[in-house]
Amino acid sequence: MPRQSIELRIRRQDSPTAAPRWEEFSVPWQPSMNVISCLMEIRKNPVTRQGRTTTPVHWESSCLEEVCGSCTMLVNGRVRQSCTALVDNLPEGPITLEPMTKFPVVRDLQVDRQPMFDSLKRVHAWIPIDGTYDLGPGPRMSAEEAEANYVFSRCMTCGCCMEACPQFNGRSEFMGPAPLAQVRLFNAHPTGRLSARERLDQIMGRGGLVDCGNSQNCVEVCPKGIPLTEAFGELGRQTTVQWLKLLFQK
Amino acid sequence: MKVSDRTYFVLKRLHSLTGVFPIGVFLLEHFYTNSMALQGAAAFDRAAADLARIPYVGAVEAFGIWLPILLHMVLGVFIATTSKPNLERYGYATNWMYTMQRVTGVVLIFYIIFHTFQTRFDPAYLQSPSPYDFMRKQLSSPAMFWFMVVGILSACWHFGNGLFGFAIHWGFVTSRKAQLRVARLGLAFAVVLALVALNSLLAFTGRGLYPDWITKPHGQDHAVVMDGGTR
Repeated sequence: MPRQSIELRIRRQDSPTAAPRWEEFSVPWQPSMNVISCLMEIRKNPVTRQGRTTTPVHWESSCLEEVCGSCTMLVNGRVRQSCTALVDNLPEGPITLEPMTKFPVVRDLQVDRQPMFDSLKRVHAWIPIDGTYDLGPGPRMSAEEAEANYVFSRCMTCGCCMEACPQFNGRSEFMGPAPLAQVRLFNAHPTGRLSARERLDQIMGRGGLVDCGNSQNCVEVCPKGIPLTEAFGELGRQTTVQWLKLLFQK
Repeated sequence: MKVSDRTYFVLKRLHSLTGVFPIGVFLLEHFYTNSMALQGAAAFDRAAADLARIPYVGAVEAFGIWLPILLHMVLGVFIATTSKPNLERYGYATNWMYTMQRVTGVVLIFYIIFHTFQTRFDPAYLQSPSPYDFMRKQLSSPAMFWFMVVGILSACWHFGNGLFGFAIHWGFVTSRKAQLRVARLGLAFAVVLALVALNSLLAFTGRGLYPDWITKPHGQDHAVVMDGGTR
C-alpha cells in the first residue's frame, strides 16, 4: 500500500572515531522508490524530521543493480543491498538504516570492507597465469563443473555473509565465509587447482576454515544465493585429505 | 597462549573428533548402564560393579573419558568465547542450533564437574553400599532431579547436534540437502537418547516407564528373571 511519506531512522557517524547518533528524516513518497533514492531525497534537503538542518547522509553505492555490493547496509536491522530494498516492499513504519557492524565505519552508512579484501589476498583467491612466456590455453572444463563453479564466481564481496556470521567478530580471528568460498572456486578450476595446496595451507591455520561454527547464517543472507555452506563441506573434505597426506606421506 | 597454525588446526579437529569418539560413545554406554536401573537395584549395582572390573580400568577412564572431556571442554570454552551470537537479528533454525550448542556446552561444564566430583570423590557416594540407593535418595530432592534433567537434555542436544558440525567439519557431507538431513537425523537421535536417559532417571525414583512391548522379548519376563522378582 503506497504511503504518503517515508520516515527514516538513520544511524549517523561523522568520522571513523566519532560517536554514533540517530537522526530521523521524512521524505515524500514517489513510485518505485528504493532506499538509495530516499537517501538522495535527503541529500537534496538535509533537514531532520525535527526541522534541524544537518549534513547530507553519506553512503556508498555504484551499480544500483545488486552486482557490485557497495551499498550493503542494515535495512530494518537486516543486512542487504540498499539498492534492491524497494520501499514499497518494506513493512509499514519507519525504515531503519545502519552501517554494517562488522567493518569499521568510514562515515555514516559507508564502511571499510578492506578486511575482506585482505583475506582474499591471504587465501590466494586468483588463478596464477602470468609467466615470462605464453602459457597457452588452460585445460578444458566440463559443462557440469563450470555450472557448479559459476555460482561461486557470482560473489560480489558485499559482506552480507560476514555481517550475519556470529563467528566473524572482533573477538575471533575467523576470516569469514566469503574468502573461504573463493578458495572452493579457485581450487576447482583446472589451472587454479595447481596451487590448491597453497590455498588450503592458508585456510588450515588460525582464522581459517576450522573457525567456522556452522550457524549457516551466511547462506541464508547471501543475496546471490551462493551455497557457502556446501563450500565449507567440500573444503572440510579437502583439508581432511590434505592433513592426512601431511600426516602419513611427509 | 599462541600455538602454530598447524597445531591450531589439529586441536580444532581433535575437538570435533573427541566429541564423537570417545565422548559420544561413552555417553551411549553411560545411558545403557543407567537404563539398567529399569531392571531394579540389583541389576544396576551389578552393572556399575562390572564397569569397575574392566581391565586397565584406570587407564581406560583417564585416556578414554577424562582426558578427551577435558580437552573438549577447554577448547569448547575457547570456541564459545570467540562467538558473538546474533539470534535477535538472524533467527534461522541453524543459528538457533549454533547458539544452543554453545549454551548447552557451558551448562555441561558445570554439570559434568559436579557429576564427576560426586561419583568419583564424594565420600557419601563412595561409601554407599549401593549406588542405586544413593541415586534414589539423591533424586528424591526435586532440585537435584531437575538439575539432572537439565544436564541430560543438554548432553543429548550437544551430542545430537554436534554430529551435524562433525559431519561438515570433516567433509563427510557437502551438499546443503545432505547437511540438513544430517542435522535432522542428529536431532532425532538426540530426542530418542533423551527419552531413554530420562526414563532411566525416572526409574531411580520408581516411576520409570517399563512397557512390556518394548522390554520383554518373546513374552519372557526378563525383569523378574534378572531381579528375582523384587522390582
